[in-house]
Amino acid sequence: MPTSFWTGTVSFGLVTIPVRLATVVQAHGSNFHLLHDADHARLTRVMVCPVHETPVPPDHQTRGYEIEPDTFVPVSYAELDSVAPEASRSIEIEDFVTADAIDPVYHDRPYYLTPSEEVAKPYRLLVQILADTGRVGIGRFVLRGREHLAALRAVDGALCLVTLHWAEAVRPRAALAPKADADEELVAAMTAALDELATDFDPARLTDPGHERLQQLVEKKRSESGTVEAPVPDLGAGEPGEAGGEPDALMAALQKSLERARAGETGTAATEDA
Amino acid sequence: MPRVRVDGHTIDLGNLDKVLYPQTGFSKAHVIDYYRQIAPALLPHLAGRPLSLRRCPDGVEGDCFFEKRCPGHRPAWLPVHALPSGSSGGIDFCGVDGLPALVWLASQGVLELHPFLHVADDPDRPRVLVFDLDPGPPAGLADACRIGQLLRRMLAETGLQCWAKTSGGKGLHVYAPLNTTVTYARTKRFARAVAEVLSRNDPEGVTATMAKAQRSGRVFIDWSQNDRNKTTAAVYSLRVGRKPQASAPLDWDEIDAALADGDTEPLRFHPDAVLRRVAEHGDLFRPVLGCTQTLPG
Repeated sequence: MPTSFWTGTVSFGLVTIPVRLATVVQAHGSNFHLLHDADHARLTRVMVCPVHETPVPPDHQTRGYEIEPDTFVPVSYAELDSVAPEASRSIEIEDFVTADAIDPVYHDRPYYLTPSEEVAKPYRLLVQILADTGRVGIGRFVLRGREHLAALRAVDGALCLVTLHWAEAVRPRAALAPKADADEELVAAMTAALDELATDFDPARLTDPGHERLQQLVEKKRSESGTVEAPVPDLGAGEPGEAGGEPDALMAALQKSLERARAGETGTAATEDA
Repeated sequence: MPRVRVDGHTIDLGNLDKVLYPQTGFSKAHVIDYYRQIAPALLPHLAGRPLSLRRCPDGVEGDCFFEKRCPGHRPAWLPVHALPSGSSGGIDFCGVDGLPALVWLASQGVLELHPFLHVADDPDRPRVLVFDLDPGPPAGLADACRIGQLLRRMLAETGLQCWAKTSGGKGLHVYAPLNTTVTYARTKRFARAVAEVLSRNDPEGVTATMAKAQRSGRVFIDWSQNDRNKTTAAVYSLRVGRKPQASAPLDWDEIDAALADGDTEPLRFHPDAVLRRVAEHGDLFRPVLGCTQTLPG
């Protein structure tokens, strides 16, 4: 089972269903990290002020809302919190729409909703009414501090949630469709050609060739020239004024401690033998 | 769902019969009951500490995962400790301030409790110096114990007393309490130098390097846990493994005795055995909380 990262409830009318949210899509991106070519140390991200040319620590980082290039309204984290949606662990279904009423361009991220603990009955109820009516529940909920629009569908006896884009984020396409009419004979001919290729959608048949080629490349390189390891940084100097601050001095002192420890060990053993 | 009142708080206990360790049938009820009984010894070691949690909602043979952020559906009375993390805001970690919090975490399928080495109110000051002795097969607990004894004598030469506990797996954890002014930069550097000196003197038996290839047949002395972002399994925490075991404090003499017998198996403890030991000897790890020592150098 995928790991759930959000628990809460789905509610409509008087029914409340405890659920967990689990990711659907595995991050099958890349395992690549940025390394320093000289020693293969993994690079870290540092926020640098281009004017001062120095790294800026988190407590000196603030946010600015861009009005126009290089003109900002400063907004603090506390102020951002004041307009954040109220934390809530409930998905309120407000409408039930037909499945094909949702334009696919609105689909954002899919999640599985699994029943929480042993309260499976109300969950089954919602699955069944969605499946029987062919309808999709539309609601809103708060995830990671942001309010999302969501569609709940019944799929294979379980609930699937897809977050939806807000309308203002979707570009209009009214001007996209050309005005010219299609030739009727051509439409008939092309429809026949399409019927030849019509089949069921089978994603398992369609694998990602780029991913496979990359895996082959990595395996080949690994068997040919092995792997490289990130270096462990030197012990380095201690804090100012610290005795044994020199790495060599600390190591030498500990070496003496170890030797004395070993001498004590053999001493004890000798006494026991005697 | 069964519902219990613990010190004035109501806790729902679902799925009590769910077996979390299939090999022995150790169930969620057993887990909750173990944590309830071990609480008097365990709670002082968790007080004020942010905790990383290892949960296995479907048992040790299902998916287990570490959880840093305290679940949003936690009860309002559960203590949380905010620690800064990254650039935007902090993470709220769960804390445990009494029996109800411990029982609630256990009821959530939490098996392992991993406290930070500092308390939330004083996040820059580690309370202990920690060495995690992790034997790479075919090395085992006996090798970790042998190196642990040498480490103990070596630390004694630098003026530090230390206490040992089983990891609850096949390793040994060695804690030198400080409870004085110190920084992670210093404890980490010191721990690393100790590990490197031990490794330099016994390259076949000890490694101070994390890489798996280096660890085979050697005891890896993990010094890197002396870090403000790292956590170590708490004493008395259950551990994820085929059989239920808990991290148990050991007396150095019993480690010596086991090594002399050539059998360290008796040093691995089922939760019930841990409870019996505590009933008999009290909390052998208690000095780690009170003993004040100064890091040499």
